Amino acid sequence: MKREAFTIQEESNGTIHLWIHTSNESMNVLNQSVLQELDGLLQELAQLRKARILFIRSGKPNVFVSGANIREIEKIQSQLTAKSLVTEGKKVFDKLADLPFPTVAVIDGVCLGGGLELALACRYRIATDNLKTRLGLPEVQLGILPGLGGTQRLPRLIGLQAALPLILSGNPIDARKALRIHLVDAIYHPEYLKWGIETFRKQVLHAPQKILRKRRQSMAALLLEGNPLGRMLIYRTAKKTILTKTGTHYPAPLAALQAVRKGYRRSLQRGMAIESRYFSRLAVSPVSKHLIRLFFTGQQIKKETYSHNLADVQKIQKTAILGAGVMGGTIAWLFNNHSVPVILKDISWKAVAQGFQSCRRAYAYLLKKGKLTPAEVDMRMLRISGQTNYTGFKRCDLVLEAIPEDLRLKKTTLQELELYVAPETIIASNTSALSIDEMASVLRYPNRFLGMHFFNPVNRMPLVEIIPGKQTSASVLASAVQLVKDLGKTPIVVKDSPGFLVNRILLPYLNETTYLLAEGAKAERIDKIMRDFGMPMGPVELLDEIGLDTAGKVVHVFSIQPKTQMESNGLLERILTEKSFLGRKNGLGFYRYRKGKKTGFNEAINLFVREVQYHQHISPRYLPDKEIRERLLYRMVNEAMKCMEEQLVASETLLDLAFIYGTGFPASTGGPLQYTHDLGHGNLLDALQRYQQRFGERFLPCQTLQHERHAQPRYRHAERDGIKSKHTHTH
Amino acid sequence: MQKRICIVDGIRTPMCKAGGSLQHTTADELAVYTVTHLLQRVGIEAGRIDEVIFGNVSMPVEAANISRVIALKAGIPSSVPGYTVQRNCASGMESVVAAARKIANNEGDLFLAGGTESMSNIPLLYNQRMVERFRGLMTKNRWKRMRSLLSLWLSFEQPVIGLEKGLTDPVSGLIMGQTAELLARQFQISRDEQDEFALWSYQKYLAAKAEHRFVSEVVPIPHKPGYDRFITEDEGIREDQTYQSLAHLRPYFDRTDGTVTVGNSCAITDGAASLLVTSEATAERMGFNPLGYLKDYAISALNPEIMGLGPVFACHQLFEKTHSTLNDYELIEMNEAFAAQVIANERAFASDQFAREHLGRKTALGPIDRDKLNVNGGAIALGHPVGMTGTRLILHTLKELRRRNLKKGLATLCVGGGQGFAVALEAA
Repeated sequence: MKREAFTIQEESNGTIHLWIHTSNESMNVLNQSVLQELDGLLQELAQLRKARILFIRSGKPNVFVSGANIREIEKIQSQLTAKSLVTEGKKVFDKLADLPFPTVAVIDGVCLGGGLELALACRYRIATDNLKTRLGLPEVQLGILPGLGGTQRLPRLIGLQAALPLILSGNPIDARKALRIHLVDAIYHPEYLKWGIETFRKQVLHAPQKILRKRRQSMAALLLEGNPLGRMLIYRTAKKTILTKTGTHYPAPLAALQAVRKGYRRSLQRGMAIESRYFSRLAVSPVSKHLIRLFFTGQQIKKETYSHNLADVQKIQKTAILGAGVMGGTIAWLFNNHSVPVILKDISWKAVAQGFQSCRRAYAYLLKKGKLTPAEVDMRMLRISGQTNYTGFKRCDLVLEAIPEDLRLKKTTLQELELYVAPETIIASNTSALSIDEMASVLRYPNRFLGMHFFNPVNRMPLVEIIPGKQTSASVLASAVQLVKDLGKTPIVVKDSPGFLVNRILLPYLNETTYLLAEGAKAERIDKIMRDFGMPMGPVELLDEIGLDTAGKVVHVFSIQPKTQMESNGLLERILTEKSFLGRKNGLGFYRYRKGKKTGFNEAINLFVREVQYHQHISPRYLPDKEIRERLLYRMVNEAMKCMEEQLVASETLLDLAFIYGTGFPASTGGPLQYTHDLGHGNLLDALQRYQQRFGERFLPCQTLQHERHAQPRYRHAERDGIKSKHTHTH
Repeated sequence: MQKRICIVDGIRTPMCKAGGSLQHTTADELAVYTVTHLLQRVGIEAGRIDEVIFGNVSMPVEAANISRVIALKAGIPSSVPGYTVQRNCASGMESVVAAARKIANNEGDLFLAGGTESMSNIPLLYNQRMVERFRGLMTKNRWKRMRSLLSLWLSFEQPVIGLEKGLTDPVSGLIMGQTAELLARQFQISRDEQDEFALWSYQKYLAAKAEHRFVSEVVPIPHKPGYDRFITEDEGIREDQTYQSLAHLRPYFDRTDGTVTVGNSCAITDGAASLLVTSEATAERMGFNPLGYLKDYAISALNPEIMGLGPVFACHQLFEKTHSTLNDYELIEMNEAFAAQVIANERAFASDQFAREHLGRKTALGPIDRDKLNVNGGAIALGHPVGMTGTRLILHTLKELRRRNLKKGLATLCVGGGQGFAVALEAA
């Protein structure tokens, strides 16, 4: 058999090194053919008389095995294929586990998913404290579970309490943590690995009990896990954690927990079968398909540079931010936290101090989580400098303005700014709705200008909308995209259009909320319905979070553009006449807040609601849950489709990803456009037309829907056979 | 000096009374703010700097070789070296002169020089007995360890105040204020004269502040630990100082029959300052618009018990070296460690007898024209962060020369341990 992915190297003392180097570029990826090749190899190795110990090593730097081929999993359409795929893989790993001599996985780099499961099938594991070394089982993040023995071998090796977080969260750990939980038996510095392997070989051959003794669990862990009551407690806590973290929208963690629970006390063989069963159910579930599709979209964004020439990309080494409000301050934090020196300018020192405070608050969060020490924070804070004039701007590579959303103010500021920066300095605007081209019109060099829209709270929202204007140069766009990536955020390039993408889709949703309120729906109920759908917060809470004044400004910007004009029942406008109702920031909006915590509905709002009802002759009524959800959702997805018609972004998946990252729209649905496919465009059209007849033009279906009456939903089969039938199996 | 040494620009932090607004900012952090802003203001690449040289007296234990720490924390590339100088109260002047010497010697042509001191953060120390008990805790003998633990438990020893130790001359055993008392007695300077001088310093400072004369040399810095505001100007200075309130104070250093009070001495203060120092040729090449020039310097030494007379000796030496006379200088900044000490210098400058006995001159250096002396007030009003003051005097003299359209200035200070330091400056 021809060897492609593996090389065997034998030493005279009976040590065998099995080198992995699959055909993928920089990673080692397991797929069917690689596993087949391994299968044949293991058969040969089992026959080798003089073999005394086997080391499995990677032929590539900074990686052991990065996992299974996700494309293969994405293609799975039936439970049967899924089952046979993992069963075949398991057989190979079983062969590895059954080799007559000791086996050691040498992990010097990424070791995820199938890679870790391969390592788990070895008798021993050693790792390096290389910064790239990461061990984990990220499968649940793709809506599946570790199907090659991960849910069975891992708990048996390191105990339930250590194994469950790895399996259920999917978050990887580093080598030190892996040693602490005995996932690996020893760690070495990568530079000393050569000698480390030799030391470990001697230990394995001459005193294996020493290594095994270290794996013994602590007394406390044994006491808890050794009896059924303790285990029940562990499972129950794990389930609670899953439900509070992801709700019921993601079946994978719950299924993985079931697989562990059912298999743990049974024989390994039985456990493996149980795991395969749960895997095959998840593998065909629409949620998994959606998550995988989003994963690939994310990968695609990482690769996309928006430039054919890498020399175009200007490295951003010095930056400045105009406006030290909450946005300016936290963007300054983001730059600062990624070692980009930043000048924070505002008109007064008092305002600059507020920006510094926002920045320090963002650090307080990292301090609390133990990610940074106070000394490190102090040191980083030194790299932000405050200014009330343009000192130091001449040497900046990028200046971002985050001043109030007032077109005239922005224009004069930009004109002034241009006098103090070099001609090649990139100027970006963190506007959430104003036209980029309109702002660019006042600049002497409009080709250096673009929009970079960060989302609040900056430290948690992964999305940045990048909005090139008509004249923005390719290199400016590419540099901004690269900067956003360097900051650990996801850049999505959006066409210059009112509200860009995320706010554009969000606004009809918020607009419909005011109608629902006026018709008599309770704010708490609207919020709960949308939270149950999977939104991180309801629309009324969201309005408070954004700030009613800010929302009002965005509505105004939308209303002057024909494309985004929408009718309004005047509720928001009426509330805004009451100057003290600004939302969470001043503790009073639709809800009341005390010390940042919501304490209840703001009854005063009812006054405005009644006023609107009176003027527009609306008699309040009971609205069914379904109507509330549909009206909110359908207006949102209808707008998303309109954005696609206008080609605001390059592809549907990009739109879906952007909206999920920008608003927390449930990823399990695959995004607003995927949602329309799953619902069926025909069904959506019918519903919209029904609502259009009842409530008017704001439900006018988009062009696409009107044209393709007979579109079929995707994944309809998957949904039928998928996870929905879970309950019948679990009993 | 063979080459003309050019001071491109400089900046300082606000000065705040120790234990005040800057108490949570360490000495290195204070300096970082000035370095960052200075580089931004001048607009040069940090990698162009040849070396970072700061003066510092108390040398915080957590920032050994503080200049290196400052450079790295300010984001200056790690390839730029840095070392720290200590000449007590003249440390901040020594650093500038060190840079000048290197430039003259062709060992580089672009230096960040400055001074920094956080007197709030000078630690309290354990006395020797306490240290021995701690040492006892670390022995192997279990019985001994137990005994040390017990004795520690039972005793609350008075700590050694690092600040006080630092301000005491270890040879003569005199604390700085006591050396001022000696001068006051020797030159027969009355309490009234001292208080008047102190009040005058306050008045000059407040008048200058009202005219915003310090704005261009001060960089506002954030108030730690809360970052709740920026400190934009010097703090802790009594705005309503009166002759009566000064006269009301009791002598601090000689409680029986002394004249030196906390009111007519300099305050204990935190602050940092930095300058960009280069050669005239480089300044021209890089298109700087320099502040001025460091013409020459002189350092002299004397009996530590009368360290306050340092300026007289240093100036005499400087005049000889530069063939100049007191009258050539249009502004004189003499650090106000104590009112008595400045007045003593004035008398020594004007005295033929002193000149004959101590300087080997036939005639006096000349009376100091009070219209030229410390025109915007001095350390009595503003405070004296020991490692920083030297730099501040150079910076402020040059700024004030430029503002008044004058040319030549003299900055001088007395140095604890018995030294004097003087520099001749020229505005660009």
